[in-house]
Formats: sequence, structure tokens, C-alpha cells
Amino acid sequence: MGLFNYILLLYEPQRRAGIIMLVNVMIILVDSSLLLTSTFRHLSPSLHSSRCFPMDWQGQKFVEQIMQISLLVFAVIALVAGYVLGSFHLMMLVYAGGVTLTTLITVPNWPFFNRNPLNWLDPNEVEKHHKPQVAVSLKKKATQK
Amino acid sequence: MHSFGYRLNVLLTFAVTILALMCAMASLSDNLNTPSPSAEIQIMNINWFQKQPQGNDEVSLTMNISADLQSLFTWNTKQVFIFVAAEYETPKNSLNQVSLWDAIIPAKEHAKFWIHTSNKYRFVDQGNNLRGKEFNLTLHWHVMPKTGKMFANKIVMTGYSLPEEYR
Repeated sequence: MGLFNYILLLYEPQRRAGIIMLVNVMIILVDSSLLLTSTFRHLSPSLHSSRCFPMDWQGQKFVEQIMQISLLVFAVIALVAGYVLGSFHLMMLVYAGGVTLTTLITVPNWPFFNRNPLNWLDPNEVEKHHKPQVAVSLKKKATQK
Repeated sequence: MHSFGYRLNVLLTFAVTILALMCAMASLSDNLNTPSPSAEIQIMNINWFQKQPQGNDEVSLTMNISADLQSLFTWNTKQVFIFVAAEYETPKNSLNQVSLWDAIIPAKEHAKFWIHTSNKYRFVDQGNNLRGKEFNLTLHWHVMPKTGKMFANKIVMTGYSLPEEYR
């Protein structure tokens, strides 16, 4: 926190206020999204919780695609908007908004990314079924002949 | 993509990389701009023309500088730095450039201007070669971008000369 305050002093007072506001908004957004994912999980009847079950493979692949496409699309929109309207500031604002939106969609562990969960075998079930034996005897017979 | 922290890391890294690419594109778009600036400088008065105790000539001028540099500004321009230099030749140096006045233009609205001023910086020669000297006044400009490459160019105005005798 001390380092953050020190960095903040490098900017003029108006900029400082803007930066503090932006950081607070981002903290609120990320915390609330984390809260939403956990409460939503409690509402669903399944045993899933975001700590025990991180995003499944399908979800991860989907998220990666969304993230890349979304960031690129927002970058193009920002560049075009900034160039056409002649405002560098506008380009930065549109892109920052796009990055925040993408963060909200892709980074928290939303339930719709966990539709194909992996069903790990329960430890109790393992004891009931023996491990299959390796066919060593068959191989030895084949080489001897 | 297996955890919150990992996804956040990937997103921020990719976002910053794309930001760098956007800034490069913004800088490249400056090449699409074809500027057409114009400028005129009149020497209203030679205030005084003396030989300093060290043996160097010094001149004080009053100039009227008028310019229209609005076409230099693009969406990616932070400010334009301009300066007026006197250029002349002496037996000792093939080219002497002495900066007489400079200014920073922060926005397109301020780029069309005229100013009546004496030289901001001293016009001192290396030696005493200035009597009757013919010189050029050049207006240089540096277009400073918000991101990327800085462009610099100049307009040369010829036909100025200093008096034959000290005043």
C-alpha cells in the first residue's frame, strides 16, 4: 500500500483522484464477481464449489477463445473510434472499458464454464474394484517360443 | 486457464501487448497526414549591434513571426515545439546556427499565430564576422507524438542581412 501511495504522488492531484476512483471501482467489480460465483454455487443443488472444482477443460478452452477474441475486437473498435473521432483519449477509454468487461466475463469462475465437470472416482469405489493385472505371463510365453 | 490468478495474468499480459500494438498503429497513422505549414518572419528593427569585451559580435533584433502550423497536428500529437534559428557562413565555420526564439504549441487552436518579440536568446557570433552579414532565418518544428515517432522539419527564409557598421 505504501508503494502504491508513493507511485500516486508522481501524478498531479486531478489524475490522482481519477486513479484512486478507477482502482476502487475495479476492486469492487472483482470482489463482487467473486462473491456472485460463490453464492450462485450455493444455490445450485450440485456439490460443486469454485475452490474444489476449478474450471473444467471445455470451460478453459472456451474462456481462452473468448478472452483473445474479445480483447482483439475491443482493440480494433477502440482504434477505429479514436482515429475517426480524432481523440487518443477516447481510444484509451474504450479499450480500458473493453479490458474491464473481458475481465468480468472470463476471469471469475462462472458456473457456465463448468458444464462438463470431470467425475473423479470416489476413493471408496477404488477399493471395491481390483486393479487390472499386467499380462507379464503371456509375453514371456511368446518370447520363449 | 486453471485458476483465477492464472487467467488474470494471461488477460493482463495479452491486454498490455495489444495496447503496445495499438500505440504502434497510432504512430503509423501519422504518416497518412500530409502537412502544409506556412510561416513568415519580418525583422522590424535591429535594436543594437555591438562588439562584446571578449571580442564577439552580438546583435539584438525585434522580429514579427507569423505562422500557420495547424496542418501539423494529428490525433496522436501531444505538442509541437518550434524554434527560429539564424543561419550564416563565416570563414571559421561553414555553417553557424544560432537559436533566437522558441515556443511550445500545445494544441491545434494555438497553431495559427503571430508574435512581435525581441530575440529570446542572445545572437552572439564566434568572432566578429557579423558586420554586413547575410543570413537565413529558418523556422524548425518538432511534432511530438503521444506515442511513437517524432517528426521534424523546417522552412528556410532567405534574404536577411545585418548592418555594415556597429550601432
